[in-house]
Amino acid sequence: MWKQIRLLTSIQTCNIYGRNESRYSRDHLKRSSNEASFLAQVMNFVFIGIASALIAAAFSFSGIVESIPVLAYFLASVVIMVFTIMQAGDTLYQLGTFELMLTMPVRQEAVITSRFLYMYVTNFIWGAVIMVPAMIVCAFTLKPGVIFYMDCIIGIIVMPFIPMVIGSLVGALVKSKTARMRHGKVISAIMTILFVIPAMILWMAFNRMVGQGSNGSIRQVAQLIDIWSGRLYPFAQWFGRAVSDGNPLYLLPAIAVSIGLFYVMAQILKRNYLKICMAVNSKTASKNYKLGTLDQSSVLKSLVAREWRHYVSSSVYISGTLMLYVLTMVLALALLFLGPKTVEEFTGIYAVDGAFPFLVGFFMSATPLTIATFSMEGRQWWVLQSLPVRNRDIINSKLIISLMVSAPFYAATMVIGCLAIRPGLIGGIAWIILTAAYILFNTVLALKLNMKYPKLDWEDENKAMRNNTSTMVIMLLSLLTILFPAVITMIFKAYADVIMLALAVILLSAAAVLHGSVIKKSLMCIR
Amino acid sequence: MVLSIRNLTKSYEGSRPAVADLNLNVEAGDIYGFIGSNGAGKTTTIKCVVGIHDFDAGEIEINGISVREDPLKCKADIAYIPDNPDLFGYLTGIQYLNFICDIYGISKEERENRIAEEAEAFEITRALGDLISSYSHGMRQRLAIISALIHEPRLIIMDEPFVGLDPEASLLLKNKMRQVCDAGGAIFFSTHVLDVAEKLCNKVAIIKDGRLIADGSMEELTKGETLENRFMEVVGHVETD
Repeated sequence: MWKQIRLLTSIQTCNIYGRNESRYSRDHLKRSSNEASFLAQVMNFVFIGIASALIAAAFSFSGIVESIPVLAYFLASVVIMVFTIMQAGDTLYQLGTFELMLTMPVRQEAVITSRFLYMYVTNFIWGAVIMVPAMIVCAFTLKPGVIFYMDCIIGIIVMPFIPMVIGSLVGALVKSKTARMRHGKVISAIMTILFVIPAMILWMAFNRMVGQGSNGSIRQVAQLIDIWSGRLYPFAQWFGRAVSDGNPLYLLPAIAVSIGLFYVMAQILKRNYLKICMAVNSKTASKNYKLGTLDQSSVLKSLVAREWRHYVSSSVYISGTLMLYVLTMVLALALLFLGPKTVEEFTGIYAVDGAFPFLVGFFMSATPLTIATFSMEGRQWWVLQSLPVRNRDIINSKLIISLMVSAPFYAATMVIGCLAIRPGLIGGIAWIILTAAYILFNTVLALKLNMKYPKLDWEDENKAMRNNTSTMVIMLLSLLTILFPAVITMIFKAYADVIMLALAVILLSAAAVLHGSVIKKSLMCIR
Repeated sequence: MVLSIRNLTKSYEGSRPAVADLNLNVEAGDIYGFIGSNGAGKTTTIKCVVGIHDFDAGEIEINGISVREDPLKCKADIAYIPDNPDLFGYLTGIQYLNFICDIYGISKEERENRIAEEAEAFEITRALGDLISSYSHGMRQRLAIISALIHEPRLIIMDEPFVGLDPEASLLLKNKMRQVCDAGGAIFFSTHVLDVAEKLCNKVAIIKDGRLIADGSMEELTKGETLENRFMEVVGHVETD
């Protein structure tokens, strides 16, 4: 049994972050795409680690260093729980490879444990990225003894278990309920957005309070964390006590509950694993179709309809692209109802009314649908490649659907934003044209980038959407193309409208040139 | 000549040629079997013909038109069925077929008749309203076959078409293949099942390590022996009793 667990776990973990594929792939394009994804992931970790260290440093300077371990433990646990809920269907309850395993002399418990351990490894990395920098800052301030480090190591190792067990069970429940719903993917995406947007707003508020740097505001945050973690998740407080009092006995409840919960989950899964896997991966099939009349459409219209169905069939694709659109609308609504001053105070964005078109430009163009449009085709890409369809039509259908999805959010955001800030007729026109130009330019640019770095060979669509080189590149490029003109506009306020219109003309021309080049490119290079 | 492959060479980056200097002709009325061991280069050749892969050298013509010069015209005349048809799982069967009809410009009346006829023949009419992701492998294969037949192509290219098909559907496909050929079309398919190839094909080509090592009519190639024995002989695995 242990040998089987070790074997199955090592088979899965050897390709963590695509390392095995990078190592052995002879395809130069695939290898460089994998390497770029890996680099993007490492950068992600570095940014999160720095953010964690900075927040811990702010706490340390305010003299409430004892709150750092509680906060780090609590945040890492929440992140791991959310990731587990999202991952559970594709990792823990993946049916395809489980059926393959069933044909071999492998114990079911070994398969379940190895999958859980694989999830543990990925979650442990996330936990460590959040907790280790914070604990280093803590150690610098407290200059503790050996027991502190021992408590930290035990705490970081134990921490992922409880949120993983809870996340696995909640994930199974959510996935099995939505799997058979007709619009399950859309519902799942809306649920994700509804969960993430308030979390992002709270996170922004939290950062703002910490960023203000006053002892009072940070103390308020620390108090809130103490109260909420005490109510919701006492393990974080116990970890804090273990670390600050140098008493490892406080870690015992977390260890005991982890073992207990894992045992309970193992018992549930042992008896119901196949049933859960089938429920999570089930599809509705009524088998009562009666042929009726069919509509005929043009090739482009038919391709656009297919793109739309493809888009709404993936909750990962929807939530990954709509998140920033919704956030932009929330920003516009906040400007309308709370006013620019309050929004500035809350978000910490300087001169939010003047920066509005650039903010909208960035948020609405940083994650266009085209960012993963080829990657999301996956192994079905051969269908389009073998059909008598012009490259131009395939590319245009992808651009059209991306613009169609962003259009209502763009229109609503601009109307609300203009009503809130009232930039005047010329100013309003300049804003509308500039933001539209940003969206158009980045939609085409993202498509070109995804043509260059496609990721077609995937089992889990998260890999196509999130571990995507084009996503990282477009985010960085958007930031650069927006930051520089935004600063110039702020400096030369009197000519802001002219600068914005000139910039829009440049972006639209660049988009046209880029479009001309992508439609001429052979789609055979995408593999 | 429905399909003409001349001196086809295709390499994948950093490896030896998957297909080297391959020549092959498929004429109207042919059921042409393409056989070889795993990794011999069958799928690579097929993917070059259907326009999924580009190739390094040589020429491929479909009905006298180069696939490099006018790929759309060539693709309009052919149909391709891969070994493991990953179809758009997010579409229902009928949406997929309707989409394929739109691509090939099939009129409303024609598509309704053809879909009804083929779906009935392959017994998947009642499942057409379900998502393809809910289909079994065999059902997907049936849908892929229907989508290939729907625009009445002159050349059907299939990669291991009988894998996953039940005996009924398999027999139906064989009959369809003969019908296409009788109507002046041609079939080019790869297979491991030598018995099927022997019974069905009038021409066969054997590929080994990317090179064509034998081709011709079934009679010429087998010379009174079974195809299995002849295959083992030419690929260098002669069985001794």
